[in-house]
Amino acid sequence: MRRMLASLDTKGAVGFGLVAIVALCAILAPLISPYDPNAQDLLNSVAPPAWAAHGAGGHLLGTDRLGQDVLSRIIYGSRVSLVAAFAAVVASGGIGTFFGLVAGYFGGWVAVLIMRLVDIMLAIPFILIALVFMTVFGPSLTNLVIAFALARWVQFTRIAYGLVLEIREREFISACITSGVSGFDILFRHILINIAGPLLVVATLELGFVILIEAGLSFLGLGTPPEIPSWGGMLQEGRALINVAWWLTTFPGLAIMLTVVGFNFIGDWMRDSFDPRTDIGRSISEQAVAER
Amino acid sequence: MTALLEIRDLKVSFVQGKQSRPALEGICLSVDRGRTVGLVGESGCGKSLTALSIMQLLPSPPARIEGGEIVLTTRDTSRDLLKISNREMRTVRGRDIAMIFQDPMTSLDPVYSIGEQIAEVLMTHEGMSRTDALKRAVQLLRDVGISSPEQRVRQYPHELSGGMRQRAMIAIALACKPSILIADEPTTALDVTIQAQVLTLMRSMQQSLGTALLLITHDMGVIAEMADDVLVMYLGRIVERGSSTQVLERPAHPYTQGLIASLPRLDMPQGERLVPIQGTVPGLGAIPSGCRFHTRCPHVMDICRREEPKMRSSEQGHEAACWLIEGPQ
Repeated sequence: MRRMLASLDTKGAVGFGLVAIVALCAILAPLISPYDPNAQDLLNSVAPPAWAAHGAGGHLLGTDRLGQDVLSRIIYGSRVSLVAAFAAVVASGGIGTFFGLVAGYFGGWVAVLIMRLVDIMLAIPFILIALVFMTVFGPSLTNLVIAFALARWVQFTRIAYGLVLEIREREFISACITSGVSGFDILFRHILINIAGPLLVVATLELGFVILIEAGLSFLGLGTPPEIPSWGGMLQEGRALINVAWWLTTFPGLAIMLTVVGFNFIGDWMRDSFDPRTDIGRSISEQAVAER
Repeated sequence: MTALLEIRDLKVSFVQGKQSRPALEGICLSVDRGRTVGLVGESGCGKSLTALSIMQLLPSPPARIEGGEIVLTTRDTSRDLLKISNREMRTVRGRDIAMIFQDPMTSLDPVYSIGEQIAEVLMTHEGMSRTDALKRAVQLLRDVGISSPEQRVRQYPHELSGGMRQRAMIAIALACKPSILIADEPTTALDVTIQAQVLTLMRSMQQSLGTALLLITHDMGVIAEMADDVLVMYLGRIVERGSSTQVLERPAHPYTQGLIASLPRLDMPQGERLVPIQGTVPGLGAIPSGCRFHTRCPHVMDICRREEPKMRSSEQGHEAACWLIEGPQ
């Protein structure tokens, strides 16, 4: 791991930097945000950013229709995005990896059943599943996470299944069986650890995807309730005023974009460092050889 | 005294749809305590399949055991490995029978240190605590001749050379002092000097632990070096058995004669050509009628094409399946 971090390229560093900023905002929100995100100041409503023409002093990124500080709401909104992203990816990754392991290891009709279900899920547009689920069960963060887990586990299953099929045939698995290691240990201690790398890459890319979906659903009014500031919700509120108050949509949009870019960069960097055929991956394995 | 491991009339087929192709037919072999039995034959003759059958590791489907018994006698109890439960089989693997594989590069898990992999076996079978098992792992590495085992125990497979990995494999296999070790081409992937070292190590470990060894190889040199008894396989059948001196010096079956004639010898006159066995091994789907070797045999007779020969003994303790031999069945 230390070797991997030492090989951090520009892309990886930018990715980690962006995600670190978002994470710090989420953790330190009450300390760093200049205003209470829900404090209304109707005298100062729809004020442009402080540095723009006619800007209201003290509101760095302006205020919305209710006079709430846009910067504070973006800072607090990072909490929703990150919590939703991590919870959803942990849930979908856990379910998906488990099914992939089971399908790949046991094969036979179990695999046929699971993988056909995966094919079916892949044929249904994700946004449709999410919309239906959120409409039926009502918009909330928990439901968003559940909807995501229900629809996106297939991404992990597909990849885990393929990897297990390959690892299962390797000689060290036979060696484990011949030394009497139980099936459970082989599956979770040997196979799972060996396929963890590529799955982590998928997980990082999925993190970015959940943030987009959360924003999208909030924009459609099916994400988080309005009293919890979220980036998608801010876009939706700003949409009506887009002609007169550009800052209401621009800044939350930028926040979404930069966070997703950050996660994707981390994912790319991880994929490169797990793959010995790329430059970064090669330099890691060369260092490993040199240390020997 | 009963043999430690006895295989009687083992039959294994590959089933594909409604087709069933026999891969092992009527395999009989027995391994006594502390003895080394060599199993020789060219690729695809069923040597490894025999080992996998003993370990119950056959890829199934397509492989299916059609009949026979594999009886293991340890601690005064005999068990047919084909009849015991999976759970019981798991206690046999690693504790009573251990196995080492051909390629030491791929038979260790890349994500765990050598010590952890040895400890895993000890924790599974001996119920040792992690700390004790790791301590024992250091001792085992020292036993198999790995220098500075305290450091090696923390290293990962990619940090060890091929010979060292095979030594580590041997340490894992012998960790629980099994009564029998199956070695499937243990030296094929190693270079010649390391081969000799690994063979010497296997023999000295075998002597100090009293482990029996079932050695699977295509290398007659390894057989001459290691084996007490030899079985020669051709296309899923055992065609000759005897002590290693008998088989190597007075091969009775034309196939064994061919195998030995095709090897270079130090005392060969210069310019003399090696004699290859004519033809190629027929596929499993096209096993010849009568004697399976008749398509390639230099002494083929009419009867060979019609009827399969039974095992006949040419001398005490030495038998082969060939119509040319005129000994008793």
